[in-house]
This record gives sequence, C-alpha cells and structure tokens, in this order.
Amino acid sequence: MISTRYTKEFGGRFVPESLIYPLEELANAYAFFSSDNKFQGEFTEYLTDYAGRPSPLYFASRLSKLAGGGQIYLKREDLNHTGSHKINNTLGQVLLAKKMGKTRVIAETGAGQHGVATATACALFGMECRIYMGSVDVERQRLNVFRMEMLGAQVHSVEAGSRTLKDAINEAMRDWVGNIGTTHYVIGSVVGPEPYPRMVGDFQSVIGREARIQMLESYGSLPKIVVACVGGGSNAMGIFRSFLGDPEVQLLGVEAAGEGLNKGKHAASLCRGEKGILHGTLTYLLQDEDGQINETHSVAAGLDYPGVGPEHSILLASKRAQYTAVTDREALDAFILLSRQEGIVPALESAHAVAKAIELASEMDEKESVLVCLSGRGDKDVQEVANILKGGGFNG
Amino acid sequence: MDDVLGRILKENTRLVFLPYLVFGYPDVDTFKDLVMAAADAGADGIEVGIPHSDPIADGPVIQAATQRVLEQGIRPRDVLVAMEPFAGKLPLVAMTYTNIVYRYGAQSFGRDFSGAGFMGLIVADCPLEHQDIISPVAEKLSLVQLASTSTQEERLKKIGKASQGFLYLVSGQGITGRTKVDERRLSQMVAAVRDVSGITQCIGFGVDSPQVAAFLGKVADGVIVGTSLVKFITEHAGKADLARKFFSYLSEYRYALDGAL
Repeated sequence: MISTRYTKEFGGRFVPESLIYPLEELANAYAFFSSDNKFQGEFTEYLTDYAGRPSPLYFASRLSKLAGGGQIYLKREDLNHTGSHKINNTLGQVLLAKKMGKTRVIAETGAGQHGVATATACALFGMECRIYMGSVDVERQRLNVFRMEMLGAQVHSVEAGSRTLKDAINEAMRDWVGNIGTTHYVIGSVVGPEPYPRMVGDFQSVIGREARIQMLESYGSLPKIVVACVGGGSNAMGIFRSFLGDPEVQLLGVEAAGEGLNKGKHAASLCRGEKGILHGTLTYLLQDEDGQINETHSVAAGLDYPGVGPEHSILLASKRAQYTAVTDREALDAFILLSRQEGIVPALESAHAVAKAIELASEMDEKESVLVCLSGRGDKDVQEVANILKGGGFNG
Repeated sequence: MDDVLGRILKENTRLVFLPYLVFGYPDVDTFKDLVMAAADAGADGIEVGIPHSDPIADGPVIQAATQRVLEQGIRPRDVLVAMEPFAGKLPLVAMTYTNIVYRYGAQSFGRDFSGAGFMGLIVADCPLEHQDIISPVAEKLSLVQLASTSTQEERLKKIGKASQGFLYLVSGQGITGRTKVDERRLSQMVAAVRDVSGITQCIGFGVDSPQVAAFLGKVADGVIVGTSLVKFITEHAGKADLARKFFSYLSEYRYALDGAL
C-alpha cells in the first residue's frame, strides 16, 4: 500500500558506505524470515505467551462522559510486558538477530522504554546488550536505567550534542559501523535507513490488526478517528497501518508542541519541519537554514526527536493522515485526568494522544468514537511529574 | 565536467598526502594559518570538513571539534570567503554530509564552492544509490566516492568507476579515529579497482601516525589523515606557535610518505 523504498521523496539509505553491506544483509534476512511461516509462528508465540498479546481494547466510559461527546476507546499497549508497545518490535528484531547468527545487540533509547524492551528481549534470547541513552534522558528516566541494568544490559550515557535521543542514535550507529560482524542494531522506531522503517512498522502493525477487529467486535463499527502520539512514530504507524484501507477512518498523529509551537521549543517535525536527511532517511526534520539539526524539547523524552519516520512524511504528503501537536501542559493535564478518571497512569508520550482524543470526543456525536493508542504506562514518569507539580509548573 | 582534481592527483609523482581539517577549528583565523602550514609542509591537497550537527561517520575527536565550530555560529557559506586566499594554490576538497548539500541546493553548492577554489566534494553519507540528490554538484566539482572494507566486489568496481578526483578507501570497519585497519582486504580492494579504473586511490580513517601513513600509503596511492591532526590541534590550541608546530607535525607525515616510495 505504501512503500518506504526511496522514492526520491522520502526514505532511503543515506548512510556511510560501511553500513551498506550490513543493511543489505539485514534486508535480505528480513525478507526471508518475514515470509517464513516458522519464524512468524515463533514470533507470534512470543507475542502471545511472553508479551501478553492481544492487548485489550478498553472503553473509557468515565473519560468519555467527562468529554461529553463521542466514545473514547483505549488500545492498551501499556499492559504489554515491559509496559509499552516497544516489546512488539524488540521481540521481532532480537529474534531475527538470533537467526542471523548475531551475538550482540545494541539500541538507542529516549524515554528508556525501548531500551528496557530491548534489554528484556536480549535477556530472553541470551544476547549481549548495550543501550545508548543521552545523559539528559539518563537523568530524567532513572527508573528505566536501573531496569535495563537489572536485565543485564550495559547503559552507555551519551554526552555529545543535545544529549538526548538523536545523539543516542548517532552513537549507536557509530558502534554498529565498528562491529557489523557480531552486532545487530535494534532501532526502536520507524526511523533510520531502509529496511528499518518498513520492518519496525511491520512488527508494530499487530497493534492495528488487533484494534480493528476489537472495534468491530465490541463496538460494531470502525472508529471515526484513530489517534496516536508521534515521536519517531512507531506506535502510530503500528495502529494506522490497518486502517489505511478504510477511507472513512481519519488518522491523526499527535506530536509534541513542548512549550508551544510558536515558542520554538518543541518536537513537532511534521507540523513545523522541512525536508532533510537525518539518520539515514529523507523525511521532515526540525533544522535550520543550513541543515543543522535543531535541539528539540518535550516533557516526554520519547517524543523528543527532531525527525520522524519517512512513512509518516508520506502519509502527510498524501494527506491520508493529519498531524497536530499538544503542549507539555496539555499532556500533563491529560496525564492527571486519565489517572483520576480511569485509574490508568499513561506514559507522558501517550498522554499527548489522550489530550487530543478528549478534545476531539467533546466535539463528536455520542454515536461516534475515537480510538486512542495508549502506547505505554506512566510508572517511569511519576517522579518527573511529581517534580513538575511540586515546582508549580502544572498549577502555576 | 573535466576532472581536474583527478588529473592533478594522477600527475603527482609521490604518494598523495591529504590532510583533513575541520573548517573554523579552533577558530577561522587559526584555521587559515593551519591550512597555510599544511600547504608549506607538502600537502597535495586539503580536505576541508564542513561541520554538520550530526556527523555519524565521525568519532569523538572530530565530533567535538565540529561542535565547537557550530557553537561559534560558523556556517557553510563562511567557508567560501575564508578559503579564497588558497584558491589555485593547492587542490581543495570539501567533505560534509548529504543534508548540508541538500539544504544549500546541490547546484548552488557546486557553483559557489567551485568559485571559491574547491575542486572536489566528498559526502560521507551519500552512497551510490542516492547520488542523484547531490549530482548537480558534479557540473562543477569532482564527486569523490567512498568504498569500505565491507563493500562487496561488484559494488566496489561500480564505485571505482563512478568516483572522480580520487577514490576514498575507508581503512576498516569503524568511524574516523576508531577504525580497525584491515590491510589485507585493502590490498585486494586496490587491485580490484585497478582492474576497472586508473583512478588515484587514497586510504583514510585510522591513519593515526606517520608510520601507519607510510605503511598504508604503499598499499594504495596515498593517505588522508584526519583525526590525528584534529587531535594535535586540540592539544595545542591557544598556544602561540601552533601553526609552526603543526607544520613540523605534518612534515613528519610528508617525510614518512616520501621515504615509503
């Protein structure tokens, strides 16, 4: 339906020559195993017995009532093992790496959710694991650093550049260039050079496949709008893919507006970016006139990224999906609201989607519904949110 | 376009010595003194790194230098004016990343940099498949291609044929300054390329001493030395006789390479 192959528009493989061979090797292995029934069977088994899939679809009745319009449904990726959708991808990639004969796995992480999910899959499959994480993120996501270490991974704090997700990816790529024989690089989102955007999207597409069936079974019709947060965009792509063929279903990605889109400090690459090349792919980026990548800001570390998956750029250009942005403040409000109304503490990333869903539902007819990808749970954010509330950043 | 850079390097009778310097490091005036020192020390050309905020092919030494330059607010177009005094004195080759050329506009980049005396361009993250995005540059500049020890035979020959100016052989697997040199594979690669092209072949990444330069120079037609020079500059920055010391340091490479012939 959509291709992430370089179309002269988006995607591609803009990497140093040293990475061409390993990417080709990976693309070939993935092509083989993605059509191999035995591999797919094994992967599905791990998703079911280990990760706890299918994740439930939950009707948020109190939240819907509060919004006072349409019905809000939550796809509960927060209930997966390790607490987010990230495990869908890491189980797939680490299993693939094992089949390829790799013994070592590296990954980048922003919020730490992908790092934890990678460390978990590495423990499960007996692989050596190293996680790159910007030192700013190490500081604000301490809990996840401990979790990764507990799982046997080595966490490397990255001091270069803006010391967040983008710099962790740079450092992981550098590691990979030097260790291509033994090492597989597990990219955590639908970003990076081909085949990553396509492959990660495939592994995450289980979200939408389940959700579409669950909506039809429990609600009897498809949602009017599907909403998901977008940093790199993997949970969004995971849920969007299954609805691409339903033209009546609107797809809405929610980016991080940080302190506000007009204040400059945000991470909304699709809303405010321009085309460029970062981390091997041509996509929308937050950059200056010269092509230097901007520093971004979001209260949610997982959204704090100046680029976005090329498939999202394609969906934006073709107008099949729309993209909007939600501020730190709005996300924090939604974080508290969902916790109080439904007893579900969402990840700050997912809270961006919740905030937009409440707003949309309030303008809907009660027969209409909005499906939200609740991509992760907020245990990791409790300390950070407590600090913000104490500092008066929320009420003040 | 006439491959002037290719012709000049071919006519060179000694091993090619290409120092790499980060533009504007430690500051623009000192950088110009360093280029002058390199020319005096017998460099056969200068590779000028145009800083990018996310240099994925570079190791910590060059990355830190790059960051310092960007913090000073230095921009790609500043290169044009600064390099004017060197135009025509020795071959200048720009090295950068795709996004810098893409944002500048490939055609304008070729026109402006050629106008400022540049003869070639190396783009660290633009493989053969994506050349169309930067190829308008080739109207004015020789587009240097890179090959790596992991590049497979057939592809290597394609790269060898496509390259202009010279062929940049990455010495092993790794980033600048952190490469495990694979000499046996390099010899095979040089021979394979010679079967299809007479292009000058230079080895870069991992050339961290005059001894290694002399050794690897013999494997191909010359070397590119980057990280060890940037490291030298970092260690001696701020001292009054930096340019003189740098000249001596570069001369060691020149002597080693000449002795190797």
